[in-house]
Amino acid sequence: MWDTVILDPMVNSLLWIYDFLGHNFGLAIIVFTALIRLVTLPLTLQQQRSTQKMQELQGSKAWQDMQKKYKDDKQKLQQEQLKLYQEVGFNPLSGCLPTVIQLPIIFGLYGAVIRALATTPVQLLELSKHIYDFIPSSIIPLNSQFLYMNLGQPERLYLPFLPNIGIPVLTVLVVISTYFQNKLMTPPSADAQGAQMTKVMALYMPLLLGYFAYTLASGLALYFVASNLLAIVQYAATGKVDFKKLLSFGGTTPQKPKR
Amino acid sequence: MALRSLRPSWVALGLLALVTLLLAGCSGAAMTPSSWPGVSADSTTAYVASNQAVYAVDLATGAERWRFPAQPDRAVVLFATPTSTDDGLVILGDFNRVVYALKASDGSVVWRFDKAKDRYIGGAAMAGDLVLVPCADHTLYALQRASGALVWSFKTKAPLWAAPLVDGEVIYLPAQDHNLYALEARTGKLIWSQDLGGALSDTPVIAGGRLLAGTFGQGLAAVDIRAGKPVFTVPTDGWVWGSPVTDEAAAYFGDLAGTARAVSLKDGSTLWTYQPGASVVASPALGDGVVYFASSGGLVQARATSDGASKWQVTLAGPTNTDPLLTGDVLLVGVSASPDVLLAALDPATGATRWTFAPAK
Repeated sequence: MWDTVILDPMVNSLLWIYDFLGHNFGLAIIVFTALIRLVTLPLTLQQQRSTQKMQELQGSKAWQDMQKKYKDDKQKLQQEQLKLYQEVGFNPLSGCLPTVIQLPIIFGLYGAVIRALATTPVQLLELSKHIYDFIPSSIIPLNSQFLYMNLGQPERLYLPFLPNIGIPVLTVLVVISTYFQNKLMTPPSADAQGAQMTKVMALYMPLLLGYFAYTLASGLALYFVASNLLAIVQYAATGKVDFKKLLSFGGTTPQKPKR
Repeated sequence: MALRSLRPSWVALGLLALVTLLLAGCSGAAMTPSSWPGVSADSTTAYVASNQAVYAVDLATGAERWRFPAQPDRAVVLFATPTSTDDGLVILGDFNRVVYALKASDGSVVWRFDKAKDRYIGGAAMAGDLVLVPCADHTLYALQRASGALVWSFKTKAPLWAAPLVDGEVIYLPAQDHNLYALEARTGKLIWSQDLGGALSDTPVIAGGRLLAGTFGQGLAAVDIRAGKPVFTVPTDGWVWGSPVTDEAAAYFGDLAGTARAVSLKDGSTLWTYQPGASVVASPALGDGVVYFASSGGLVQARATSDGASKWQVTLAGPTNTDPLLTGDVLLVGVSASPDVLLAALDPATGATRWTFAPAK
């Protein structure tokens, strides 16, 4: 079911793009990531709208007063928050739903890159079972060379004057771009707990993806970088991006209530 | 109501945890090198390379003689078919870019070669005092048999997953860049190359002055051994991974679409076919009037070479993508993904199990 509905169409789209682009797998990953971002744009926009609405709500005086009033009674606080959500017609899960819908796509994309690279016999045997008839078998194996990288191997750059030290350039780019994406696109939280969580996630995600980029095939790291940069570009296109945020360190601070 | 009372930030954190778990799971799978066992044998011992060790197994009893490395070592990942030499070495490359030459008597390391840039998937071949090792870094390495020192190397345009065929002073090298290369054994100098239209992942065979090689997408190709020009092709529904085995009249092979067949050596015309019910990755083994096919479904079948009539069949405990090997009086079959059997020794006449081997923990 997973293979038929998600993974197979993605793998074959990726292979078709690879063939169309003259057998450049790195370019195919970037174009494929851009197409996926385009297809999921309505979901992304809905998520951004929901986040903004939540942010406005949490910045309101009514919300802040409620936090103070019921700070010792969590249950009552929850009830009042729900009441406020209903009054303003806001569904707190509306921001999560697009993310839930996008999860299979994220995993599918990840799986498609791994499956298409097929660097071991078992992976290649598995790939052979999932290629559609219109994909020419002459494209197998994929040319995994992109710039100086072998996309099937973890990336390291060896400079002529440092022949024994591999510099993980793509890993650094993944960490930086993930940090920037989080920094630019995560709104400030109204309460201390939310701000703390935002801070943890802002550090956790770059390190996690950086670890994957360092240890796994560089094709995945390329996907991470492309995906992060395209997300930032998409967000910037909505006119909401504030590049000054990049200069503030230590996470976002709780915002002041609006009167 | 309970769901609605969840704070969005907690939902986000939960999703993030889920993403982490799933990505970590996927990454684990991605990092685990995966292939099927590599199996070979000399007159007394079978060698089976699977994951973190190569095991020397007594051919008569199935008892383990030694293993390398003696203790589990995460830096060693072995799947390439071990190659035993007439001067008492067992040579094989690993997924972590090292070629090992081991003493066949006790598994101790004689030399190692670690200059490659990618994994070794195919087995080695011997050409006089040279060891020829194909590597996924697109390179065929020719090493001194005695020391492992590099003598020459030959670069192709895609990974090399199969041992070359050595015929006197000429090496025939199958490559995933779709080419079959003919090289001078002493120098590695190119004699000819021929694009066969699909990746080549197994060692070609010689039959009647022709080289026969399976391809991904273009069936079985027959190439004139001197000129390197295609003579005929046998179209197939699926990729041909394993090379054929041949007798005087026919070539026997299977494809990934799940057809096993015999074709005429003269013109490639089909003599008989049957469907074993799963992909055929492995090259078959040839006995006296019998051809043994193993398929991904774990089915091992003996068929009469004359008409394909079934002699016997057995189903083993896991996929059998390793080439079955007829040696002495047993048919050795490597089994993947089974905790109970890694190597099975079958009676070639009946298919009855003589012994099975699974490494002790």
